[in-house]
Amino acid sequence: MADLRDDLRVYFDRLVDQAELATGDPRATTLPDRGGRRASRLVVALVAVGALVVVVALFGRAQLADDRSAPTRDVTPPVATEAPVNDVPPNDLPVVCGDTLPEPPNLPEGFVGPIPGPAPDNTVPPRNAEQLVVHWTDSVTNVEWRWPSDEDAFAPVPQGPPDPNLGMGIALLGVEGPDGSGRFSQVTYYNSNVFPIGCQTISRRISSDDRAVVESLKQGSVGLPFGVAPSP
Amino acid sequence: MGFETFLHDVRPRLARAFLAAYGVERGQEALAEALAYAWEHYGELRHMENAAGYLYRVGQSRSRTRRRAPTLPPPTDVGLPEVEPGLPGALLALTERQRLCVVLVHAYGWTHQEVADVVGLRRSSVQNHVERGLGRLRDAIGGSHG
Repeated sequence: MADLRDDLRVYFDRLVDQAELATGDPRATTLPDRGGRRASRLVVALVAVGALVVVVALFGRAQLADDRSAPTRDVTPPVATEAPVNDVPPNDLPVVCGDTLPEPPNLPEGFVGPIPGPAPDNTVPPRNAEQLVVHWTDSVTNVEWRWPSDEDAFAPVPQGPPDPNLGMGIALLGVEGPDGSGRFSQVTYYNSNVFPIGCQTISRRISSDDRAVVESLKQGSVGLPFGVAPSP
Repeated sequence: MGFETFLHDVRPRLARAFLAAYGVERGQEALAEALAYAWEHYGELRHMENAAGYLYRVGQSRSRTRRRAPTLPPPTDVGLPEVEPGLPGALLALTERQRLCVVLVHAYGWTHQEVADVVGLRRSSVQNHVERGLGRLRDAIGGSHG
Protein backbone atom coordinates (compact mmCIF):
# COMPACT_ATOMS: atom_id res chain seq x y z
CA MET A 1 0.00 0.00 0.00
CA ALA A 2 2.80 2.39 0.91
CA ASP A 3 4.53 1.63 -2.38
CA LEU A 4 1.39 2.32 -4.33
CA ARG A 5 0.82 5.59 -2.51
CA ASP A 6 4.43 6.61 -3.06
CA ASP A 7 4.23 5.78 -6.75
CA LEU A 8 1.02 7.76 -7.10
CA ARG A 9 2.48 10.76 -5.32
CA VAL A 10 5.78 10.78 -7.23
CA TYR A 11 4.09 10.23 -10.56
CA PHE A 12 1.43 12.91 -10.16
CA ASP A 13 3.85 15.40 -8.65
CA ARG A 14 5.86 15.08 -11.84
CA LEU A 15 2.78 15.51 -14.03
CA VAL A 16 1.66 18.52 -12.01
CA ASP A 17 5.08 20.13 -12.35
CA GLN A 18 4.92 19.67 -16.09
CA ALA A 19 1.34 20.95 -16.29
CA GLU A 20 2.20 24.03 -14.25
CA LEU A 21 4.99 24.84 -16.66
CA ALA A 22 2.75 24.30 -19.65
CA THR A 23 -0.12 26.35 -18.28
CA GLY A 24 1.80 29.43 -17.23
CA ASP A 25 0.23 32.60 -15.92
CA PRO A 26 -3.55 32.75 -16.41
CA ARG A 27 -3.33 36.45 -17.11
CA ALA A 28 -1.31 35.65 -20.21
CA THR A 29 -3.28 32.60 -21.20
CA THR A 30 -4.62 32.50 -24.73
CA LEU A 31 -7.31 29.87 -25.01
CA PRO A 32 -7.10 28.40 -28.48
CA ASP A 33 -10.64 27.76 -29.59
CA ARG A 34 -12.65 30.48 -27.94
CA GLY A 35 -11.18 33.31 -30.00
CA GLY A 36 -11.78 31.30 -33.14
CA ARG A 37 -15.38 30.67 -32.18
CA ARG A 38 -15.93 34.35 -31.47
CA ALA A 39 -14.40 35.25 -34.81
CA SER A 40 -16.58 32.67 -36.55
CA ARG A 41 -19.67 34.08 -34.89
CA LEU A 42 -18.68 37.58 -35.98
CA VAL A 43 -18.16 36.44 -39.56
CA VAL A 44 -21.53 34.67 -39.57
CA ALA A 45 -23.21 37.76 -38.16
CA LEU A 46 -21.60 40.04 -40.73
CA VAL A 47 -22.55 37.71 -43.56
CA ALA A 48 -26.11 37.57 -42.29
CA VAL A 49 -26.34 41.35 -42.05
CA GLY A 50 -24.87 41.69 -45.53
CA ALA A 51 -27.34 39.19 -46.95
CA LEU A 52 -30.20 41.04 -45.29
CA VAL A 53 -29.08 44.34 -46.80
CA VAL A 54 -28.90 42.76 -50.25
CA VAL A 55 -32.37 41.21 -49.90
CA VAL A 56 -33.88 44.48 -48.70
CA ALA A 57 -32.23 46.38 -51.55
CA LEU A 58 -33.46 43.90 -54.18
CA PHE A 59 -36.94 43.87 -52.69
CA GLY A 60 -37.04 47.66 -52.67
CA ARG A 61 -36.02 47.80 -56.32
CA ALA A 62 -38.66 45.26 -57.26
CA GLN A 63 -41.31 47.25 -55.46
CA LEU A 64 -40.14 50.42 -57.14
CA ALA A 65 -40.27 48.71 -60.56
CA ASP A 66 -43.78 47.48 -59.83
CA ASP A 67 -44.90 50.95 -58.85
CA ARG A 68 -43.49 52.48 -62.01
CA SER A 69 -44.87 49.80 -64.34
CA ALA A 70 -48.35 49.72 -62.90
CA PRO A 71 -50.59 51.68 -65.31
CA THR A 72 -53.43 52.30 -62.95
CA ARG A 73 -54.02 51.35 -59.41
CA ASP A 74 -57.06 51.21 -57.23
CA VAL A 75 -56.59 53.38 -54.27
CA THR A 76 -57.90 51.66 -51.18
CA PRO A 77 -58.14 53.65 -48.04
CA PRO A 78 -55.91 52.35 -45.29
CA VAL A 79 -57.58 50.13 -42.75
CA ALA A 80 -56.82 50.72 -39.13
CA THR A 81 -55.61 47.70 -37.22
CA GLU A 82 -55.92 46.93 -33.55
CA ALA A 83 -52.27 46.22 -33.22
CA PRO A 84 -50.42 48.81 -31.19
CA VAL A 85 -48.02 50.85 -33.23
CA ASN A 86 -44.74 52.39 -32.18
CA ASP A 87 -44.97 51.29 -28.58
CA VAL A 88 -42.89 48.12 -28.83
CA PRO A 89 -39.20 48.68 -28.90
CA PRO A 90 -37.32 46.65 -31.50
CA ASN A 91 -35.54 43.62 -30.12
CA ASP A 92 -32.11 45.11 -30.56
CA LEU A 93 -32.90 48.24 -28.61
CA PRO A 94 -31.15 47.96 -25.25
CA VAL A 95 -33.58 48.10 -22.36
CA VAL A 96 -32.58 48.33 -18.73
CA CYS A 97 -35.08 46.27 -16.80
CA GLY A 98 -33.34 46.16 -13.44
CA ASP A 99 -30.12 45.47 -11.59
CA THR A 100 -31.63 42.53 -9.75
CA LEU A 101 -34.41 40.06 -10.43
CA PRO A 102 -37.87 41.26 -9.39
CA GLU A 103 -37.95 38.48 -6.81
CA PRO A 104 -34.99 36.49 -5.50
CA PRO A 105 -35.19 32.87 -6.64
CA ASN A 106 -36.04 30.28 -4.05
CA LEU A 107 -33.19 27.90 -4.70
CA PRO A 108 -32.38 24.75 -2.77
CA GLU A 109 -29.67 24.94 -0.16
CA GLY A 110 -26.15 24.89 -1.52
CA PHE A 111 -26.58 27.26 -4.42
CA VAL A 112 -24.28 30.27 -4.60
CA GLY A 113 -25.21 33.51 -6.31
CA PRO A 114 -26.20 35.76 -7.85
CA ILE A 115 -23.07 35.61 -9.96
CA PRO A 116 -23.06 38.17 -12.77
CA GLY A 117 -22.91 36.80 -16.29
CA PRO A 118 -24.00 33.61 -18.03
CA ALA A 119 -23.60 30.21 -16.40
CA PRO A 120 -20.23 28.66 -17.29
CA ASP A 121 -21.81 26.04 -19.53
CA ASN A 122 -23.94 28.50 -21.51
CA THR A 123 -22.14 29.68 -24.62
CA VAL A 124 -24.81 32.22 -25.56
CA PRO A 125 -23.52 35.67 -24.60
CA PRO A 126 -25.77 38.39 -23.18
CA ARG A 127 -27.63 40.20 -25.94
CA ASN A 128 -26.28 43.57 -24.83
CA ALA A 129 -24.75 45.30 -21.85
CA GLU A 130 -28.15 46.35 -20.52
CA GLN A 131 -29.58 42.84 -20.24
CA LEU A 132 -29.53 41.45 -16.71
CA VAL A 133 -27.82 38.04 -16.83
CA VAL A 134 -27.09 36.33 -13.52
CA HIS A 135 -26.72 32.76 -12.39
CA TRP A 136 -26.60 30.62 -9.29
CA THR A 137 -24.66 27.40 -9.01
CA ASP A 138 -24.02 24.53 -6.65
CA SER A 139 -20.98 23.64 -8.76
CA VAL A 140 -22.89 20.88 -10.61
CA THR A 141 -26.20 22.49 -11.48
CA ASN A 142 -26.54 26.02 -12.83
CA VAL A 143 -29.65 28.20 -12.83
CA GLU A 144 -29.37 31.25 -15.06
CA TRP A 145 -31.82 34.13 -15.44
CA ARG A 146 -32.01 36.66 -18.26
CA TRP A 147 -34.14 39.83 -18.07
CA PRO A 148 -35.40 40.60 -20.63
CA SER A 149 -35.25 37.13 -22.08
CA ASP A 150 -33.01 36.22 -24.94
CA GLU A 151 -35.58 35.84 -27.70
CA ASP A 152 -33.03 35.47 -30.44
CA ALA A 153 -31.33 32.59 -28.74
CA PHE A 154 -34.30 30.72 -27.33
CA ALA A 155 -37.04 30.87 -29.96
CA PRO A 156 -39.92 30.31 -29.89
CA VAL A 157 -40.77 32.91 -27.31
CA PRO A 158 -44.34 32.65 -26.04
CA GLN A 159 -46.55 35.34 -27.47
CA GLY A 160 -49.92 36.68 -26.49
CA PRO A 161 -51.44 38.18 -23.40
CA PRO A 162 -50.47 36.95 -19.96
CA ASP A 163 -52.76 34.71 -18.00
CA PRO A 164 -55.45 37.09 -16.69
CA ASN A 165 -55.79 35.17 -13.45
CA LEU A 166 -52.16 35.16 -12.54
CA GLY A 167 -51.05 38.26 -14.40
CA MET A 168 -48.35 35.98 -15.66
CA GLY A 169 -47.79 33.41 -18.37
CA ILE A 170 -45.36 30.51 -18.07
CA ALA A 171 -43.91 28.52 -20.94
CA LEU A 172 -41.97 25.45 -19.90
CA LEU A 173 -39.84 24.08 -22.70
CA GLY A 174 -38.75 20.47 -22.68
CA VAL A 175 -35.52 19.21 -21.21
CA GLU A 176 -32.86 19.01 -23.89
CA GLY A 177 -29.73 16.93 -23.94
CA PRO A 178 -27.41 15.50 -23.28
CA ASP A 179 -25.44 17.88 -25.46
CA GLY A 180 -21.90 17.22 -26.63
CA SER A 181 -20.72 18.02 -23.14
CA GLY A 182 -23.10 15.62 -21.45
CA ARG A 183 -25.24 18.42 -20.07
CA PHE A 184 -29.02 18.56 -19.85
CA SER A 185 -30.75 21.92 -20.02
CA GLN A 186 -34.20 23.37 -19.84
CA VAL A 187 -35.54 26.88 -20.44
CA THR A 188 -38.65 28.46 -18.96
CA TYR A 189 -40.14 31.78 -20.03
CA TYR A 190 -42.18 33.93 -17.69
CA ASN A 191 -44.36 36.71 -19.09
CA SER A 192 -45.99 39.39 -16.99
CA ASN A 193 -47.71 42.64 -17.82
CA VAL A 194 -46.58 44.10 -14.54
CA PHE A 195 -43.44 45.36 -16.18
CA PRO A 196 -42.88 47.83 -19.03
CA ILE A 197 -42.93 46.59 -22.59
CA GLY A 198 -39.52 45.22 -23.38
CA CYS A 199 -39.17 43.80 -19.87
CA GLN A 200 -42.19 41.55 -19.73
CA THR A 201 -40.39 38.29 -20.37
CA ILE A 202 -37.78 36.70 -18.14
CA SER A 203 -36.08 33.44 -19.02
CA ARG A 204 -34.67 30.85 -16.68
CA ARG A 205 -32.22 28.20 -17.89
CA ILE A 206 -31.43 25.17 -15.72
CA SER A 207 -28.49 23.00 -16.67
CA SER A 208 -26.95 19.99 -15.03
CA ASP A 209 -25.26 16.66 -15.62
CA ASP A 210 -28.33 14.99 -14.19
CA ARG A 211 -31.62 15.05 -16.11
CA ALA A 212 -33.57 14.24 -12.94
CA VAL A 213 -32.19 17.34 -11.22
CA VAL A 214 -33.25 19.52 -14.15
CA GLU A 215 -36.70 17.97 -14.17
CA SER A 216 -37.03 18.50 -10.43
CA LEU A 217 -36.02 22.16 -10.48
CA LYS A 218 -38.10 22.80 -13.59
CA GLN A 219 -41.32 22.13 -11.70
CA GLY A 220 -41.16 25.38 -9.83
CA SER A 221 -39.00 24.74 -6.81
CA VAL A 222 -36.62 27.37 -8.13
CA GLY A 223 -39.21 30.08 -7.57
CA LEU A 224 -40.91 32.55 -9.81
CA PRO A 225 -39.44 35.82 -10.94
CA PHE A 226 -42.50 38.02 -10.48
CA GLY A 227 -43.44 36.99 -6.99
CA VAL A 228 -46.71 35.40 -8.08
CA ALA A 229 -47.34 31.87 -6.95
CA PRO A 230 -49.08 29.52 -9.38
CA SER A 231 -52.40 27.98 -8.52
CA PRO A 232 -52.08 24.80 -6.46
CA MET B 1 -7.08 38.31 -0.52
CA GLY B 2 -5.22 39.38 -3.66
CA PHE B 3 -5.32 37.41 -6.87
CA GLU B 4 -1.79 36.09 -6.33
CA THR B 5 -2.72 34.67 -2.95
CA PHE B 6 -5.94 33.26 -4.31
CA LEU B 7 -4.06 31.64 -7.17
CA HIS B 8 -1.45 30.23 -4.81
CA ASP B 9 -4.25 28.62 -2.82
CA VAL B 10 -6.43 27.12 -5.53
CA ARG B 11 -4.06 26.41 -8.40
CA PRO B 12 -2.23 23.38 -6.96
CA ARG B 13 -5.51 21.79 -5.92
CA LEU B 14 -7.07 22.34 -9.31
CA ALA B 15 -3.99 21.09 -11.16
CA ARG B 16 -3.99 17.85 -9.18
CA ALA B 17 -7.71 17.33 -9.55
CA PHE B 18 -7.78 17.97 -13.30
CA LEU B 19 -4.77 15.80 -13.98
CA ALA B 20 -6.17 12.98 -11.89
CA ALA B 21 -9.54 13.16 -13.62
CA TYR B 22 -8.60 13.87 -17.20
CA GLY B 23 -4.98 12.99 -17.69
CA VAL B 24 -2.40 15.28 -19.21
CA GLU B 25 -3.94 16.91 -22.28
CA ARG B 26 -7.46 17.65 -21.18
CA GLY B 27 -6.24 18.19 -17.65
CA GLN B 28 -4.00 21.01 -18.82
CA GLU B 29 -6.78 22.48 -20.92
CA ALA B 30 -9.23 22.34 -18.04
CA LEU B 31 -6.69 23.98 -15.73
CA ALA B 32 -5.99 26.73 -18.26
CA GLU B 33 -9.70 27.34 -18.74
CA ALA B 34 -10.36 27.48 -15.02
CA LEU B 35 -7.46 29.83 -14.33
CA ALA B 36 -8.37 32.12 -17.21
CA TYR B 37 -11.91 32.27 -15.87
CA ALA B 38 -10.52 33.00 -12.40
CA TRP B 39 -8.56 35.94 -13.72
CA GLU B 40 -11.54 37.33 -15.61
CA HIS B 41 -13.99 36.86 -12.74
CA TYR B 42 -11.88 37.23 -9.65
CA GLY B 43 -14.15 39.96 -8.31
CA GLU B 44 -16.96 37.44 -8.03
CA LEU B 45 -14.91 34.41 -7.05
CA ARG B 46 -13.27 36.12 -4.08
CA HIS B 47 -16.62 36.19 -2.30
CA MET B 48 -17.44 32.54 -2.84
CA GLU B 49 -17.10 30.05 -0.02
CA ASN B 50 -15.93 27.30 -2.37
CA ALA B 51 -14.22 29.05 -5.25
CA ALA B 52 -12.00 26.04 -5.98
CA GLY B 53 -15.07 23.86 -6.40
CA TYR B 54 -16.66 26.40 -8.69
CA LEU B 55 -13.51 26.66 -10.80
CA TYR B 56 -13.29 22.89 -11.02
CA ARG B 57 -16.76 22.94 -12.52
CA VAL B 58 -15.76 25.72 -14.91
CA GLY B 59 -12.74 23.79 -16.16
CA GLN B 60 -14.78 20.63 -16.44
CA SER B 61 -17.53 22.30 -18.47
CA ARG B 62 -15.34 24.40 -20.71
CA SER B 63 -12.97 21.62 -21.64
CA ARG B 64 -15.79 19.27 -22.58
CA THR B 65 -16.07 20.72 -26.08
CA ARG B 66 -12.68 19.23 -26.72
CA ARG B 67 -13.42 15.97 -24.95
CA ARG B 68 -10.94 13.22 -25.53
CA ALA B 69 -9.88 10.05 -23.82
CA PRO B 70 -7.62 10.72 -20.83
CA THR B 71 -3.95 10.02 -21.34
CA LEU B 72 -1.21 9.38 -18.83
CA PRO B 73 2.37 8.95 -20.00
CA PRO B 74 4.50 5.94 -19.04
CA PRO B 75 6.61 6.72 -15.97
CA THR B 76 9.80 6.33 -17.97
CA ASP B 77 8.66 9.10 -20.33
CA VAL B 78 8.56 11.56 -17.46
CA GLY B 79 11.86 10.44 -16.01
CA LEU B 80 10.53 8.09 -13.35
CA PRO B 81 11.79 4.57 -14.15
CA GLU B 82 11.36 3.54 -10.53
CA VAL B 83 7.58 3.95 -10.66
CA GLU B 84 5.47 0.87 -11.37
CA PRO B 85 5.14 0.80 -15.19
CA GLY B 86 1.60 -0.55 -15.06
CA LEU B 87 0.35 2.36 -12.95
CA PRO B 88 -0.88 4.67 -15.77
CA GLY B 89 -2.75 1.86 -17.50
CA ALA B 90 -4.33 0.73 -14.27
CA LEU B 91 -5.39 4.28 -13.44
CA LEU B 92 -6.90 4.79 -16.88
CA ALA B 93 -8.95 1.64 -16.44
CA LEU B 94 -10.74 3.23 -13.48
CA THR B 95 -13.77 5.45 -13.92
CA GLU B 96 -13.07 9.15 -13.94
CA ARG B 97 -14.39 9.62 -10.42
CA GLN B 98 -12.63 6.57 -9.03
CA ARG B 99 -9.34 7.79 -10.49
CA LEU B 100 -9.90 11.31 -9.19
CA CYS B 101 -10.79 10.19 -5.69
CA VAL B 102 -8.03 7.60 -5.39
CA VAL B 103 -5.34 9.98 -6.53
CA LEU B 104 -6.44 12.93 -4.43
CA VAL B 105 -6.85 10.84 -1.28
CA HIS B 106 -3.97 8.40 -1.56
CA ALA B 107 -1.39 10.43 -3.46
CA TYR B 108 -2.01 13.81 -1.90
CA GLY B 109 -3.56 12.97 1.42
CA TRP B 110 -6.74 14.98 0.91
CA THR B 111 -9.56 14.17 3.26
CA HIS B 112 -12.75 12.80 1.79
CA GLN B 113 -14.45 16.08 2.64
CA GLU B 114 -11.80 18.11 0.83
CA VAL B 115 -12.30 16.00 -2.28
CA ALA B 116 -16.06 16.33 -1.96
CA ASP B 117 -15.83 20.11 -1.71
CA VAL B 118 -13.73 20.51 -4.81
CA VAL B 119 -15.35 18.04 -7.15
CA GLY B 120 -18.94 18.43 -6.00
CA LEU B 121 -19.62 14.96 -4.61
CA ARG B 122 -20.98 13.80 -1.29
CA ARG B 123 -18.39 12.67 1.22
CA SER B 124 -19.89 9.20 1.29
CA SER B 125 -19.65 9.03 -2.51
CA VAL B 126 -15.98 9.95 -2.34
CA GLN B 127 -15.39 7.16 0.14
CA ASN B 128 -17.13 4.65 -2.13
CA HIS B 129 -15.13 5.75 -5.16
CA VAL B 130 -11.88 5.50 -3.20
CA GLU B 131 -12.61 2.00 -1.93
CA ARG B 132 -13.73 0.64 -5.28
CA GLY B 133 -10.99 2.39 -7.22
CA LEU B 134 -8.28 1.27 -4.88
CA GLY B 135 -9.49 -2.30 -5.05
CA ARG B 136 -9.41 -2.29 -8.83
CA LEU B 137 -6.00 -0.62 -8.82
CA ARG B 138 -4.56 -3.29 -6.54
CA ASP B 139 -6.07 -6.05 -8.67
CA ALA B 140 -4.64 -4.55 -11.85
CA ILE B 141 -1.16 -3.92 -10.57
CA GLY B 142 -0.96 -7.19 -8.69
CA GLY B 143 1.25 -8.45 -5.98
CA SER B 144 4.05 -5.98 -6.37
CA HIS B 145 1.97 -3.42 -4.47
CA GLY B 146 -0.30 -3.85 -1.56
